[in-house]
Amino acid sequence: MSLSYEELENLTYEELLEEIKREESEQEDRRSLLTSILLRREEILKSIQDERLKKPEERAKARREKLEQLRRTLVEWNRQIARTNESLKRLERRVEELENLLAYHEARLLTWFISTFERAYTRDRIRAIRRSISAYRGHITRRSRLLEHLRHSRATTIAEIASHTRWLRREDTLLERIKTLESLLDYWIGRARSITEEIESEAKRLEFKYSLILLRRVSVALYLIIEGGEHYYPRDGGYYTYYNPAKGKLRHVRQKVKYPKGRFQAIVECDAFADPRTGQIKTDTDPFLTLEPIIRQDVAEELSEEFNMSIPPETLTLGVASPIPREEELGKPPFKVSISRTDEETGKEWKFRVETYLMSDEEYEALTRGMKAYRERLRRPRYV
Amino acid sequence: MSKHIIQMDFDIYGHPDLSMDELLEFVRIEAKRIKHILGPRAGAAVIKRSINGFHLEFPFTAISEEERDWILEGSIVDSGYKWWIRERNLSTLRITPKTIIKEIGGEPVGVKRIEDTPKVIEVVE
Repeated sequence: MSLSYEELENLTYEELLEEIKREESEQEDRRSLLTSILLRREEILKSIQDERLKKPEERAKARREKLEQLRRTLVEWNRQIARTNESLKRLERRVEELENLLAYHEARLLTWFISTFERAYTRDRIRAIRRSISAYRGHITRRSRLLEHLRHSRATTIAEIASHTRWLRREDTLLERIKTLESLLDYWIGRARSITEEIESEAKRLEFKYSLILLRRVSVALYLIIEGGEHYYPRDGGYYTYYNPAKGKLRHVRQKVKYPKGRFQAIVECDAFADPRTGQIKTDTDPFLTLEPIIRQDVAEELSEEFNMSIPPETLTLGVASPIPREEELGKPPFKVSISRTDEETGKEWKFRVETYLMSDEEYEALTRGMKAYRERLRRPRYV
Repeated sequence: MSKHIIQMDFDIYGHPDLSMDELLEFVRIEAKRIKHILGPRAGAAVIKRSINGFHLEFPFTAISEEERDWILEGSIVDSGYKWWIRERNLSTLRITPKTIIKEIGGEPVGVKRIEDTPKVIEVVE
């Protein structure tokens, strides 16, 4: 039994990372087992060749060397078995502890003296403990399977040692020896195949967990780089009119003012799902997918108003800004922190702190009502 | 006091003597240096490839401004980039294509759109 889809979906970032880390370590163990098995297969192929081609004295010498090597392999198997046993025991102990804890909380629910608030908290706690038990049992199942592979491999290696030791005293016929070695070869090939299949299926599971993304409050920067340009004054497209006494007539003029290279920038905080491994924002997933056009539109309008220029929302470049928003803000509407205009030549920056939410809580709630994954993740269940 | 993640931009223009592979090695060295300084607080380092260089990001770090300045002091990142971060007290790394506009009279006369989205190429655990 392992975590169900819903349970995995509800994991927080730390929990998911922990789960992925444990899975990765199991996958690493499987890979190292496969490498050892492939090595054994190569060695048996070499033994078959030796048995066919070498003279009796050379064969005996090669066998002694092989026995040394096999004993070393046996030590390695024993070491891996001990390690896996240890981790299994650890997981089982944890499950026992959690089961006791679960019983305690379930018993608390049966009593009459706990408050409504405590009752709700206890129910949450029970859900989290059950999820943890499922996760640990899943790991126990997979670890047990690995342990079984390791024990089989050790038994086969012992059988191989026995054959080589016997052949040192009295050799069977070549046919029998080759037959024994080929049966061993078949065994290792079969074992390698089953472990490869296991690795592939576990890789899919791991891939799925990687695809489960974490929810964060992120600072995004929306900016537009202006390489250079100029404005005509007056801005409304008309002319300044004045009387030139020398010429004796009215003059209609427009003034041209250049402005330097720089960028217009707004910093906005909003919720977004992110990759748990790389921390990168998932721009193709709600809520960010829905929020992005709204933020772009708002920022473009604000910049256009402040700087008296037309900025199409789609031309704004989206980036991640370095300030880390407060975790308490998670679940709130997008928050516009500041807008600024930077002059790249002089290094001067004109900055204005806006500090307003782009929409009210009710509007945001209505906007995100359909985003099931987002709403569920906001509950942030605890993990034991 | 606000906390920040670490972001760095390495452009080939800032290191004209280096090839892209050599610059990538530089970025890896920088990632390891910061991980060494911050220890477990650093978290994973993400290296992204952009059109003319690399982005280095520590998305799970939370450091103060002083710590950031201290890390930047010994960094091999462009001096201009360092100066800008200190000056603005902010760093940004884009995640979408970049637009550069040249305007005359309030009308955009030249729009340069660099169709390049930085891609994650390496995660230094």
